[in-house]
Amino acid sequence: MVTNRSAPELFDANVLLGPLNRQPPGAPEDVPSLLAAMDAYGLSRALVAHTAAKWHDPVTGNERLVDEVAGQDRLVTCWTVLPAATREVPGEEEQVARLLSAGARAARLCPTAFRLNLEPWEVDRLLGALAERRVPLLLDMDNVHWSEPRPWRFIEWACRTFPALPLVLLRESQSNFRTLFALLDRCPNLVVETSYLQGHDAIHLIVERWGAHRLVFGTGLPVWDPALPIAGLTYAGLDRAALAAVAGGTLRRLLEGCDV
Amino acid sequence: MTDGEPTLREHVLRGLPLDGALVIDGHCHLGAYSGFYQPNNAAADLVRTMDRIGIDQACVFSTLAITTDMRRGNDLSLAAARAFPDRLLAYVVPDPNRSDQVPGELQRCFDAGARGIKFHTQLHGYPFDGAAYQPAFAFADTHRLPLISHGVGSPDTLRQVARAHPHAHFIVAHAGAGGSGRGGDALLQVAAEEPNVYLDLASSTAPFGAFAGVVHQVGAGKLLYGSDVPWMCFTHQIGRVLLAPISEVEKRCILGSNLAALLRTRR
Repeated sequence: MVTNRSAPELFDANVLLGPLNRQPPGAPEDVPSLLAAMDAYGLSRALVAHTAAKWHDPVTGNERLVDEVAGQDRLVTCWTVLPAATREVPGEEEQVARLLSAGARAARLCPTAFRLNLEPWEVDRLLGALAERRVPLLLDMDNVHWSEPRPWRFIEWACRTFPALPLVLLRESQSNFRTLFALLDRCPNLVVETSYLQGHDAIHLIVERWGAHRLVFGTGLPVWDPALPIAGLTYAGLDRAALAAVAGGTLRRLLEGCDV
Repeated sequence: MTDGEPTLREHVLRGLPLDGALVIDGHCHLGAYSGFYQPNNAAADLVRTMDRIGIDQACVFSTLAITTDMRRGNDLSLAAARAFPDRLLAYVVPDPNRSDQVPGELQRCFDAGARGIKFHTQLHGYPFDGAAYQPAFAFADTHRLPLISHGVGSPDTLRQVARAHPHAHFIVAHAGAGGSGRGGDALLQVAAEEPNVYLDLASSTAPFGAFAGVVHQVGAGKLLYGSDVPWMCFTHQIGRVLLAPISEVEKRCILGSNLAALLRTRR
């Protein structure tokens, strides 16, 4: 019986902090309960955005995020960003500068929550500003099920137009491999987060074909159960180096790549 | 488990094979599907992953049988079971759109070693309580077989069919994970109340805390681990059990001992 294998250090790329409008029973909603949940599931660190930024107002929500996680070295802040045409948020370059000066090392774009259409002329300045400082962009489409459509034309355009921008697809599923694999071939800055990546042997296959630097571990906590993606990774059959990279090394490298 | 051995939670966090627990996956497909690419879908691929995780046995039914070709598809399942006789258990798929062939196909596959029956009412476009499925209900009842169905009509429909065939073991696919899945509370109630109704866990979605809620509502004795591999992966669905805030005893029931008891009644 194999018993001497140690657990990988899990750095979760996809976590929200704060209350949800339909809070699952027992789901964490503040820093102490989030840390307790992370302990229960063996999660070492988490990249967190705030629910108030995603579903209320990015400016005040991001401020709240910074305040609430201050002093917590297990939590890294991820700011929710928006195009600035309406002037409800600062200009794109100013947003990115503030994000970095506040200690955040990633941005989250939530087109479904904010009813963005992802037209190039709508988001080009924002993506350009992020690419200029190499701030990883997490694309959060609020997808629930694998049968829902994905904005592939936007993803391809964003990756090709801004090759310095790491674009991380949150909650990508097994149902789009015929499209996703074509993009992984063509877009080296495209990274996939694993919380919903449930194809048989898919994590192993993607690491084998494109490398562990194309995957980041994530769970979707507290909306989704972390148990599934954790087992999906620990039982993926990766060698020690690839496992460490997908579990957290790839994400750390992306965050450290910001031009602060 | 003895003192010093890892718990099931520790097993999954460390990626250790589940050597000390009986694990039977009750919901596995074989072969390709047009709707999306499913890597490593052959019998040998499944067994390789089972070895890595420590899954003892898997109930298999080919995707071909639930789509276009019942007989060839069932032959693939039977061949897989012959190739891995200790690991893969073939289930026969009846195609209700070829109702004249169903009784003979059930008997042919049973004689060749099939251990259960699989319905896919959605892909076959046929209601669970339709006339063409009646021979399969009677066959499962006579031979005391597990019958797993994707789609069971309404909870009341399931209750009526289960009561009419008390020796068959009815397993509702995709219904045991909780959340907004198929059937809702009324279906959970049927599983809790009817002695021969069970719920399969396979579900791509996993709302936080939902599975533990089902365990408390239905009882671990009525839940069966199933992955839906290669539509999904063995790994994720087993993680749902291994890391759930439920007891080790409950986890072991769900992982394998419940289904093992159902498979033993075949006659």
